[in-house]
Amino acid sequence: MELSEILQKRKNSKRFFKKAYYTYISRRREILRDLDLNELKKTIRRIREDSIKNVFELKEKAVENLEKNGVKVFEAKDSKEALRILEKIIPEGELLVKSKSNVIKEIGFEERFYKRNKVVETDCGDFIVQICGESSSHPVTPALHIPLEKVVKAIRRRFRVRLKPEPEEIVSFVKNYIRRKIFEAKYGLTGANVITSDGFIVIIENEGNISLVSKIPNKHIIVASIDKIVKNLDDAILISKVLSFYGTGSKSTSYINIISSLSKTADLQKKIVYGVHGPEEVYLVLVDNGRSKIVNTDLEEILYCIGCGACLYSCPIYRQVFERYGKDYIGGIGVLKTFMIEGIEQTFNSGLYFCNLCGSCKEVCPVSLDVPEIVRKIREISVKSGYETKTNSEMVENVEIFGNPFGKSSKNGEVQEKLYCC
Amino acid sequence: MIIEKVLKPNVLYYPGCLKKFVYRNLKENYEKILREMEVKFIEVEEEVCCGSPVRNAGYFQQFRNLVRKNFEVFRKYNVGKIILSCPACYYTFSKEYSKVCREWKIECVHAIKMIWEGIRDGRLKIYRKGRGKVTYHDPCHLGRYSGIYEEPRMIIKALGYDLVEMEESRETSLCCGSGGGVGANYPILAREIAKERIEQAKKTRAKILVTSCPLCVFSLKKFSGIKTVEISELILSHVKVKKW
Ligand code: SF4
Repeated sequence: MELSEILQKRKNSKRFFKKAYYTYISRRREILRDLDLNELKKTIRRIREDSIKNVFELKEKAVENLEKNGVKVFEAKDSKEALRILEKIIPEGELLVKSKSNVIKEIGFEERFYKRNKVVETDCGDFIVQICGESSSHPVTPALHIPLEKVVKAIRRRFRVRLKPEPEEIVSFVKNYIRRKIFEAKYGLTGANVITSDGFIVIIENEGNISLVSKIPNKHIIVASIDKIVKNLDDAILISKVLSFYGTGSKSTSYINIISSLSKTADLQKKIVYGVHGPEEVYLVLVDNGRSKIVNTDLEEILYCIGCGACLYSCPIYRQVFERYGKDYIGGIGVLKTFMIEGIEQTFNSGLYFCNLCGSCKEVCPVSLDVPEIVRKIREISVKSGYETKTNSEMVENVEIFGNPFGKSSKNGEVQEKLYCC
Repeated sequence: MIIEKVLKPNVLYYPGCLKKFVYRNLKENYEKILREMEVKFIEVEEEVCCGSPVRNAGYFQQFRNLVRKNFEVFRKYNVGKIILSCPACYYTFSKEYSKVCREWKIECVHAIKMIWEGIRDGRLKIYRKGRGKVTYHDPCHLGRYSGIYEEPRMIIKALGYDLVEMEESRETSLCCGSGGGVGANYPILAREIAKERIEQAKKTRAKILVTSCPLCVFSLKKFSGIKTVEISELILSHVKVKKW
């Protein structure tokens, strides 16, 4: 799609975005006001740095501890392998209830499983995105850009139910539908926000769907990337809190699920029976997808991201084109992750040169991730691999020949269309 | 006399490519103000682009070449201090050059800091006070990248204006839209962002939008409903300078 077309198409989204943005920003401000923000950011940054620098060791421990507790752990080096593992666990045609997860999106789950199985998204926002045939516009609030009228229309078309375009009515319908599906399904699929080396899996949420998806179906499958592993529960809880401060602008998510084992009882003659009210099988698929490769390199910082999405709200580019900036991961940080996962060609095409390098993301980011500086580094790789924009190669040629970016035609006082700066 | 010339390092005014080749009037504005403050400086023809757009576009080798070239030129002219008025040049010279050129020791000062001191100490006389609401747009390279937020604001207030802030200012200022090469590579995208910034400016009900970067001026000037000026233009309409 041409950029002009994207801008045109996203005009409407902008209005909705603005409203959501102002609510979010004032809530976030309120929460952060009472905190020593510098101290908090420093702590989070240190936790992330330590976790990534020791990721291999932490992973080994986490796997060992989780397996001891009966969780079946699989490691996948890339998307392909992750999908193969999931196909082995989940029989074809089975109903599958799923909650939001970036990693699940990253491995290309939708493309493969939406056809192979009946997949029901259980997050309200994702469900709406799914039935409207839209794409998610924000990692935390994916349906931000869809007008209510469009939602009720999609529901009418699909379920033959007439609703008023009011959030309460829509939520009530969605809840009842999803709940039925969760009780029907044998397989529940979720991501994880944090995993600890001593064997806890932490998943935060507001809606309560994850509590259900992870407990009602007989089998719970968790897909997470290796950078999610930290040392202990203290670190994990702090990250969860910060995710909530920055992700939604709330003091805490409604629920913090902590899973360490299977559902079990030994009440009958001391014989352990698994799967009482929760699942009798829990799987964890740990995805690498280019992550180990950047540990201990000058791109390592990408892995410090906790995925809160705060940077998007303040990003000038995101505010114009939304999910069209980035790929499976959105925004400037999304472009960086695309490089990590898919390499330079995809990155070039996902908006590598969109970034204003304005630094507003770094300013708000809880780990002060220096997106602009890493964008420059990846632009360097891009140039070296032969992916450059025509405008930029003109500019560089001018600088090399004439000593300025505008070239020979830069007569005094003449304002040119292309300013090639700064 | 000759010995003194050899020993005493020169102060250079580096206007930056945009002011040198496109917005010449802005370059002259700063020259006038600096002279009025009796700042002695030289200007040289051989200097090249500071390298900011080149570095931002990912051409690091070419950036290093520019750093080398400028370093040689400045050494030839015995430059000990550079006065800059372009935010991106200022950031690049003061923070990036020493990372790729170990011998780089040249002190960099931003003209706006000097001008503020000039106003504060009475070396620049305000002959006519301004009136009404003015809002200020922080250029990314001056604010977030270099931490200069206060001086331009103090200047605007000293000129007599009522400074009002936009909803996103200082550390959380919104980019003018052209930064990072977006203005050149995707002008329609840059324009949409600039439009959003202009809306924020208009919301303050200010009659003038002041900024301190030539590229921001280029980006923001395209819209009607509010007057966009570079800070030197505002200063010169309140400060008298001698004819040179
Ligand atoms: S880069 Fe920072 S602000 Fe953006 S999603 Fe990651 S942690 Fe959040």
